Amino acid sequence: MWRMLRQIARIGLATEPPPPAAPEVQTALHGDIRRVFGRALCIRHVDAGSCNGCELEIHALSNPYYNLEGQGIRFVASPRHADALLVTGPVSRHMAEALRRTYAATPEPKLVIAVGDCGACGGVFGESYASLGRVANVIPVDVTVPGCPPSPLALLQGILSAVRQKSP
Amino acid sequence: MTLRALLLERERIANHLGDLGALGNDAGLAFGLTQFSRLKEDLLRVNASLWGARYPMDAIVPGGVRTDLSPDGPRQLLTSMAALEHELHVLRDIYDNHAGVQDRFMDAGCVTAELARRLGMVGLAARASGQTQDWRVDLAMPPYDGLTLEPAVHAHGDVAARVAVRFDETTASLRVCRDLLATMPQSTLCEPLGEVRAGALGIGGVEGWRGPVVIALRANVNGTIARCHPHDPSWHNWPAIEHAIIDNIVPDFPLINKSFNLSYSGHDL
Repeated sequence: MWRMLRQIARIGLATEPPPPAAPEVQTALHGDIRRVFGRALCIRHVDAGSCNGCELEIHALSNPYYNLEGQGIRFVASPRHADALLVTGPVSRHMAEALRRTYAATPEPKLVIAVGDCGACGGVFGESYASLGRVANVIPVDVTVPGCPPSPLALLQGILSAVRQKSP
Repeated sequence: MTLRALLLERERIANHLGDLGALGNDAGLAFGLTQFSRLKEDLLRVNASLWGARYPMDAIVPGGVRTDLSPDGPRQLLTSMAALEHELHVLRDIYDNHAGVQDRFMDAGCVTAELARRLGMVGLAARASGQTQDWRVDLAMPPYDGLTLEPAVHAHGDVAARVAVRFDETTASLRVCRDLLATMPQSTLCEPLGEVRAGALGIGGVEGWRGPVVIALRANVNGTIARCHPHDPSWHNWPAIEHAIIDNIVPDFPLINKSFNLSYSGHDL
């Protein structure tokens, strides 16, 4: 136990002060989240056929540097608990119906953020016998975050702009 | 080819770090996830500063690489790797001496050597069940043929063994990276590809962090791609999980599953 405590004390707080442009971004994010959704932003992540590259960066959002939960944004295990859907991958035909149902199960007001080049435009997979291409081909999309995979900061900014779009 | 190997080993390190953290977390040690995800993020940021991408997947192209290492690159890599190795040592000590974590890791999700052999398991999970196989050694292509590298093998086949293989391989990969940096040649980054023969079949494989990744391509008459089959190691190892979880308690399922960390999308390929 003392070894763990020593390591925790030695490393200290790793969470970064927001990057240069971001202080007002983060304050604005908090304000917008409060105004639109009340308390915190709850995200349901849907893998509609991703290679899992985007998932690596979505996971990175929860590491101590980005500390997503510290900003009142968290991932939930059901669309019924969610304010936003974070959808990755080109939509494979096997996942299309599941994605439509997940969208239907998310209460209003809801946001859809299509993540990665595949989610934004179909990426290298495009439309084929196995793939319906971009997320917007299946459910309405508010914001796309391109990138292969998009960086955690790009994801954070995507989430912010989605919340902004819904702001009254 | 040296730069390719360097990128491959860094990918292996990044993924092993992520898994080691997640395994601690699934055993109830959130400290592990926090610490290892910090180390992984540090490594990805060095990647971004050197190659312009946190995951430089596009850096590798047929014939070589389409990126280079800046003159200051080796120094930056060596400094960050020395820091990482120290942290890794501290954290391994903590994992190894944490009674609660070891209680969850040991004897959970056992795959015997005999079963691993019969199921044709590959990669990391096979090595944790006593199978001495690693394409970097068995089919050593340059620059691996010039390196001293032993497959990291453990006999017991439980979660603890798969954790130990990850620790061993991360340390070995750090050493390989240092060896590669010491012998970085001044050669062409990308060789021109020859003419594609009509109807030709090509197979390429590499020992990825999870196991051997294979791609088979067949050419059309006009030299374009007629068929492509990417083959992920997950395909071979998923059936092993079904055996590994038998007689284990339900709360150990996530831990056993994570110790294999197979790809869901990779299985469909």
